[in-house]
Amino acid sequence: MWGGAPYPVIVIDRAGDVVETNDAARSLLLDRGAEEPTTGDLPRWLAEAHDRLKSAGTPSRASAGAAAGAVAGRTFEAHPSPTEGGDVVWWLVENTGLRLAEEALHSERERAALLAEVSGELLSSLNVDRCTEVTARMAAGHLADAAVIVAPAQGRRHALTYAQGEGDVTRAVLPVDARTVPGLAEALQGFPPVPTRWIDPEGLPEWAVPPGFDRTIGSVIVTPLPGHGMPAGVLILLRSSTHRAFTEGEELFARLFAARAGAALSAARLYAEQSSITATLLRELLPPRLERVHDVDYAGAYRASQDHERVGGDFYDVHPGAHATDETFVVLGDVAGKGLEAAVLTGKIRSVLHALLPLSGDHRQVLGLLNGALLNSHHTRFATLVLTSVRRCSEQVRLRLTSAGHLPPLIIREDGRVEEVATSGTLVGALPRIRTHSVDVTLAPGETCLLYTDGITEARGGPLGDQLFGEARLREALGECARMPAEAVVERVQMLAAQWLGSDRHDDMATLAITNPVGGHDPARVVDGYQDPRPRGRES
Amino acid sequence: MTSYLPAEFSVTVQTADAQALHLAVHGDLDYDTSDDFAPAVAGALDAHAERYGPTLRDLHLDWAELTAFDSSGLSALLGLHRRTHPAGITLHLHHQPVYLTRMLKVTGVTGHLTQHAPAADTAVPAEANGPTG
Repeated sequence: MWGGAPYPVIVIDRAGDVVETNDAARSLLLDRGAEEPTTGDLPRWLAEAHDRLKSAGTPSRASAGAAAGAVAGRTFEAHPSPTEGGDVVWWLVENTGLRLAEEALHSERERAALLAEVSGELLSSLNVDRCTEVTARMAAGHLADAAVIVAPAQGRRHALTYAQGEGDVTRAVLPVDARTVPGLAEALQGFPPVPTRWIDPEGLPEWAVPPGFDRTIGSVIVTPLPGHGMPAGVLILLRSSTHRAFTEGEELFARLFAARAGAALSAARLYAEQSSITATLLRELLPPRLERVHDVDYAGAYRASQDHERVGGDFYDVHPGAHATDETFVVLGDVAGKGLEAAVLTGKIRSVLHALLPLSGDHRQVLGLLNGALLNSHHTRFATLVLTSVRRCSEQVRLRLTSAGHLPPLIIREDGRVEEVATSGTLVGALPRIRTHSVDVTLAPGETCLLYTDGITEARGGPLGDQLFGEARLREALGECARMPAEAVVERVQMLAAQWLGSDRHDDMATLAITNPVGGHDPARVVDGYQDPRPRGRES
Repeated sequence: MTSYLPAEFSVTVQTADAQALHLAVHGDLDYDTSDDFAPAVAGALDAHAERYGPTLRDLHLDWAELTAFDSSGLSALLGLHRRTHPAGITLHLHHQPVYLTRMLKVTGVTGHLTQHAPAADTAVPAEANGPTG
């Protein structure tokens, strides 16, 4: 009677005995010929549903009394429909596909959430160690029982990061032979991209197992962590033998995970490299410590822009003359623009000037050669600077100053007058020809010549927050610096500019003071600029 | 008027005829915007050349609406001069704020920027007289 029904049908009577079944039900329940199944062949959940139905009486609605459960590895919903004779016809509707789809959806959701968590955790840090640690911990927590991350080689050694289950993350740096783990060498190379590899747990070398992992390893996969152009390392996932092996879906997910982790790791590594390059460059570019040279005081102060991307373009150098009678060559300058490009140009200028030291007596020639060295057809990035040649002549200090498009140096006279040095000239590095006009200045004891960059005068702040510090304020401040030591003058200027700024962003600020010290000069030792050849022991 | 860039920094065309183009610079021309200066002016020059042919002799820059100018801005301006001068286009600066005048003077480039540009070698003499006749 039910033979043609598309679903397995089982008719059960009041007593709970199987009265009739169709072919589909028979092959489902018995998995053998045409024999009639008995009560004992019914799955437990269906028998219980039938009992419940009996005790509840005749169901009022068709949907009431339905049950669900598994039969022979498949899942079904059983819908009862009572007959007039008191028997119940159970229709079994298979929902295996739906359930599997729901399970897959659930696990996809979990994975998507995990990936989001991975990205969130990893991208919030640009610290390579922390990124590696997070990756290892998450891999061990969500993908396997233990995880090992092999970082790209540093020389012959690899940094290894181990994580297992909920435990701690441990690190080690070991000389690792990548060939001992199948697929590892290729994965570390990163190109061409290699697929995830299953490997035999038997052949796993000792270093590839997290210290303290005492369970038997059942399955292992090796997944490359793809980076930007260069590999970010390799992820090795280990599962103990009691745990099920990796399914195809899990393997795919491990690759997705590795892709996210690899991107974050290589971003962190790139950042670390860049900041180390910046630090190296900066170390080279840091202004020198200044001190007294041939009885003339020099003091410099440099306050780099707080904006770290905008590494500065201000610089100064003091090249002492070989003898007290020789001129000391002083440079202060400012490169247009900011950032690494400006810093590199700064380095170039300092090197060129250093090389031109033998010619430093002729400012015009030095600037002409420097201009030629800097001229570039690609851009018009330029520098402005002041060259100063300093020589002590008895009580006085003689300066020869040449501005190449720079703000005019200021002289603080002994009585508090502040004079602008009338040197002028063209900036260097942008025009085919330059012109210069040098000016000679004499400093009496207690007088100072101040060189500075526009970071000082263009410091924006003040009571209203939008005014420039300006040359007038600078001159006013310097009026109070008569007879002060060089150190004190630069300190005061930097302090005033910093106070003016408040908390605002600012450009680099550099100041350099050249001071003829009050009473600092020993007239007995140097006469008219020529050193007295007779040694005099003042200490004795 | 054609606006080439959004409000904070822009270059607009004031007037144009065959031989002269008047541009106005608005906003801050500094480290953050100096890279936009060259394309903005080049766009105006290209539009002019498309309409009149290579007849431009004078490029006037009006700085009345300038709000800030730094060394990167000067670098951009020198870059413009490096392109216009060989092309026989003379630069003229108008209404520049005190700080701009001061910066051009201190850096010693005032005369250089506005020096007269002789007609480009490529221009045929007859053509140079053409547009007015």
